[in-house]
Amino acid sequence: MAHRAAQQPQQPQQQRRYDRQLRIWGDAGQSALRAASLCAISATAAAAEAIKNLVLPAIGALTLVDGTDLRQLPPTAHFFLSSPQRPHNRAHALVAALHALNSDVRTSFIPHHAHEFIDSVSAAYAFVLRFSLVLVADMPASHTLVRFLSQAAFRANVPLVLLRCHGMIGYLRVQAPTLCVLNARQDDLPPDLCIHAPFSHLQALADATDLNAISDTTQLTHVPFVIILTKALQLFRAQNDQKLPASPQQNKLFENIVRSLRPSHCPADALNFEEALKRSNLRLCYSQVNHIPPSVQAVLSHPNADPRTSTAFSVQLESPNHHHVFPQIVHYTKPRPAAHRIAEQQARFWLIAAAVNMFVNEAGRLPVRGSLPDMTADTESYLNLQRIYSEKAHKDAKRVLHFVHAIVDERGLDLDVDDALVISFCTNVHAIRVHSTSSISDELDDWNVDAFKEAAMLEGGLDPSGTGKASPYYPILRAVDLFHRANGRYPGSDTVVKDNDIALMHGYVATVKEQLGLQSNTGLWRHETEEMVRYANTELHNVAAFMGGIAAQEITKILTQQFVPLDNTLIVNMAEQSSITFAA
Amino acid sequence: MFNKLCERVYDQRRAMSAEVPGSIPGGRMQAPVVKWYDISLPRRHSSVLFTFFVAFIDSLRLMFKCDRVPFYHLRVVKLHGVVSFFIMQLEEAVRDDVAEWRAGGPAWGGLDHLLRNAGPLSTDLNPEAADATQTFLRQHCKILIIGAGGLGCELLKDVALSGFRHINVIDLDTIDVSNLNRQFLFTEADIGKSKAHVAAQYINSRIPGCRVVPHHANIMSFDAQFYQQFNIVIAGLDSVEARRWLNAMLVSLVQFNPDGSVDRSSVIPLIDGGTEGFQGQARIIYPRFTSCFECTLSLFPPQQNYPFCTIANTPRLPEHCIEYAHVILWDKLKPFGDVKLNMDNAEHTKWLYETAKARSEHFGIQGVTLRLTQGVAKNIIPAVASTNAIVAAACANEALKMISAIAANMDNYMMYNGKSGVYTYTYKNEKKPDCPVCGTPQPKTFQVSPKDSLAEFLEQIAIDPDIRSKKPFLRSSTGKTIYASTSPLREATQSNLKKKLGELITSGTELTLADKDLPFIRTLIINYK
Repeated sequence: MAHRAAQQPQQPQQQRRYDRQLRIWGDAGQSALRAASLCAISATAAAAEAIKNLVLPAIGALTLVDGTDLRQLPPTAHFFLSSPQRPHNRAHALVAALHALNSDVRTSFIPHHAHEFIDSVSAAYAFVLRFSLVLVADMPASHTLVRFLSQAAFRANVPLVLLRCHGMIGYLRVQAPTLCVLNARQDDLPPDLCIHAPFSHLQALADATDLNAISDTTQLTHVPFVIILTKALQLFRAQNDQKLPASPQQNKLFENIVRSLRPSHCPADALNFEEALKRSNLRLCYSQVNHIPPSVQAVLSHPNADPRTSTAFSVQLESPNHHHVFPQIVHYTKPRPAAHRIAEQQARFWLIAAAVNMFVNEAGRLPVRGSLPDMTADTESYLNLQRIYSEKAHKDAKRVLHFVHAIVDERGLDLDVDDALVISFCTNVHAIRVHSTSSISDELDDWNVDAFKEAAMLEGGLDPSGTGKASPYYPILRAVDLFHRANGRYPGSDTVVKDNDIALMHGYVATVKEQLGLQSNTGLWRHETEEMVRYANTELHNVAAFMGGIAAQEITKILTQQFVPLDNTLIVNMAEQSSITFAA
Repeated sequence: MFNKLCERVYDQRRAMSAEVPGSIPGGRMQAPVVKWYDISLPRRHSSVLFTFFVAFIDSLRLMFKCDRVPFYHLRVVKLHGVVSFFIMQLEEAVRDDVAEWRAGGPAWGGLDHLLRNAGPLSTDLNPEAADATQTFLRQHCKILIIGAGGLGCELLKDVALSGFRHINVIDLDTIDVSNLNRQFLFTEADIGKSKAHVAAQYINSRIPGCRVVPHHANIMSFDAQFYQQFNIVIAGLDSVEARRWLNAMLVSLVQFNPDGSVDRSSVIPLIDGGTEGFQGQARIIYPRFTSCFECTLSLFPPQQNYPFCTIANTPRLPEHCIEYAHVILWDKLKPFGDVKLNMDNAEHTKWLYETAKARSEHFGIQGVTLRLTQGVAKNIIPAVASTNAIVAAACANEALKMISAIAANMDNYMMYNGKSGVYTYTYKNEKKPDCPVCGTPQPKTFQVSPKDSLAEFLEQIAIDPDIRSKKPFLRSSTGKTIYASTSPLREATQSNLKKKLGELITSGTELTLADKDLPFIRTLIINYK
């Protein structure tokens, strides 16, 4: 389990090897990555690049599915498959090459095409349950396999990532019904200093500090600004009906109070008073009273975070209703059972979120995070302040933990939650997020036309003039899929009938434009459509490497439950280098 | 269109297409081959003759005590005639490689397909020159990759798989275990070896026909003549100083026509990539035409230093304790004698960690860990395979587009941020008219107090966003040396550091600033407040 593994210090050699990435996602992120099991379907260049970027940082396990016999393929410029002694199966050959990159990763492969054994939604369901995440490369979204996988993965809450490259164009789609983020790591959030509602120890410390009584100017210029602002706000409230400054005029008034607190024997340019003034615009200093950021509120008011009615505290997945026989997985390295699944991590996430909900109901605010930014202060007063914040945070986390146990007992849950996970949840409570995406299968029939139009408009993609835009290629890819479904090949892939393909593609693009209500703009996306036919099904290494890199980064974010994942479609145009994202 | 600026590249491609329309060039290509072939030979063509040839080159290498034996050296030793026979053999080998990517041939299908099929947005592409472009790319185009680290490993793979064959790589580093999470050309067995050599060998063994020439050296140890031989330079560096130097070197190579216009054939494009965590950027610098690295120096803010009085008197954070041990205690206590702190030395790191830890315990500060100690003292930039792959691919893609015209280049800077969703933004960085490297620099005026000491003024120019001089040499317009940070004048001017500016110079004095790490000389005007 991720949180338990996080408690065990890693081997020094591992620490050194992974040092540069541990500085990005920490030990907890690394443990989550180590616990994950990835399945990649189709070992194309882009998929190989994505997997390479996950094997290097040591994802736990990898299963590659590809039935291609390399002897049937022309010799291509594939970095990992160029060894003459390579095995004949593409998945086998790639797994062998990747194993050489990092033997910490458990690798296995299935030397068959996925569509040969995933022939229904229920088969796909039984299959995806074995993995933390499934990556599908270079397959049209309309392919029946993608449809089966999409529906199954959506039901099983296994994230699904679709990756495609056509010439200079890259496409990435993330599908996940719910993604829980433990730490969005957005560094632009204001610190949580509770100046607006000082807890007892902070108030006591402020009360005990009499600025005028400090005769030593060195000491006076090292009183932390937090104390100065706490005192100033108390004065302001006493004069203003216990209210906080709410208008620009009142802010001015408040600033004057801050200024007036500086004793006459204190130098005018004392840094601590400057800091206090700079932060006296309270919005920069702390969030409003009992304010819960919308992204956190979205988690707390999610039905899954309801302490009484939530059904998300246990992994309740229906078992596959048929017994499906899959080709045997060939283990390249020794297998270890029990792939850790996102659903298991999420049960804990929702349980703690429900406990935080109970805490908020009781205290009227989020738990104190307990971190203190650096500020002008002497060592002793800073450490003293730091101690009272961290004690308060600890006390709040203990209360949340109490609620966790209360829910577990009341609901009779069979779920153990580590204290450290609860504490780290509370420390980052401002940065928790929940995301959900639409299903790829639904997108095929009914897509988010408005979201696309908005993103395309921003980029200038609805304007027929100009070049280097990415947004036109989303409708064009939809047209490519229509073409593929009708003809069984990609437009432009047969150069003899290229002109005919162009004409057909203009027709398909017109169909998509109709869905967007843009049919009257006949010149729109003509050039891009012809470019797409030119690109045909070519896979350029640099495009594959770029998209493989982004896919790996998105998968890392999902598996470590850190940073903010892509919502949910990315289109990249590597001619003139542009991109757009939107929620399809 | 930006593409059209790349005349150096285009002229050569056009020359190719005029000379050899649709055919594979023969022996007439000898001249450039002599200039370009280095000692790294395609291993799969190792006939007896080649074995002999390699042995011959190796002996020359010993003789010249260098890694790389350019053929002008061979001319010097009057062996040119002997060599040309072997070059014929090399050509033979190249022809085998060519056959693989020719039209109709299976390999390299993606690029060849795009070269032979123009589209409405690939306006610079001439499909009839497809063979010539392939020939140019694989036989004549010479690309230099700077750095064989996180970006470098990716770049080498990317350009090799794009079809570049003559690749040089410079890196002065050796392989460390902490590289292995992203620098995929290295394994545990390579720890301690030269990055450039191991990377070059790996690529040469994997990509048929690829000839990567490694240089285990500092970029500053190569002269203009060395850089001039390349058609494109891609830099994957982590140091701002090295990029400033490289940028100035490539700008300095630009020649002017008698009428004052830029001689486009002398312009070598620089593609520069950088990463930090989940963020990165890629840009094209086309010297004298686009903004250069120095024009946009402010994009790279100087490293934040903790104020001395904080780390000495009022430490609050674990970083303060580490910095005190690093900056003050190392020099004061000299735990290993009179040696510089080396964070790659395990003993040094251990001492620093323990000293910082002891200091933090003395103050009751928590959080000094080995990881943090290394991070602070070494200024470690977080790095991961995926971001390197993304930025390197964007750089290599621009290089390939420049050579092949299969699509338009970006203009001219792309930033990437993967922290929240996926965000890329490509925009045009503007030239700075008074850029000290590629523009007409104006004297920089400093308003200072005559009571400031010279040391304080030096701190100011060290962090000044335009200048950032850390090893200054200052001379006044009257010819008096105010300060020199290097010997022998250092000793003579050391005493000036404590003096007040008012004692040293009058208001309005013009100072000439030189710095051995900076590629330019600036004029500073000192005005007293």
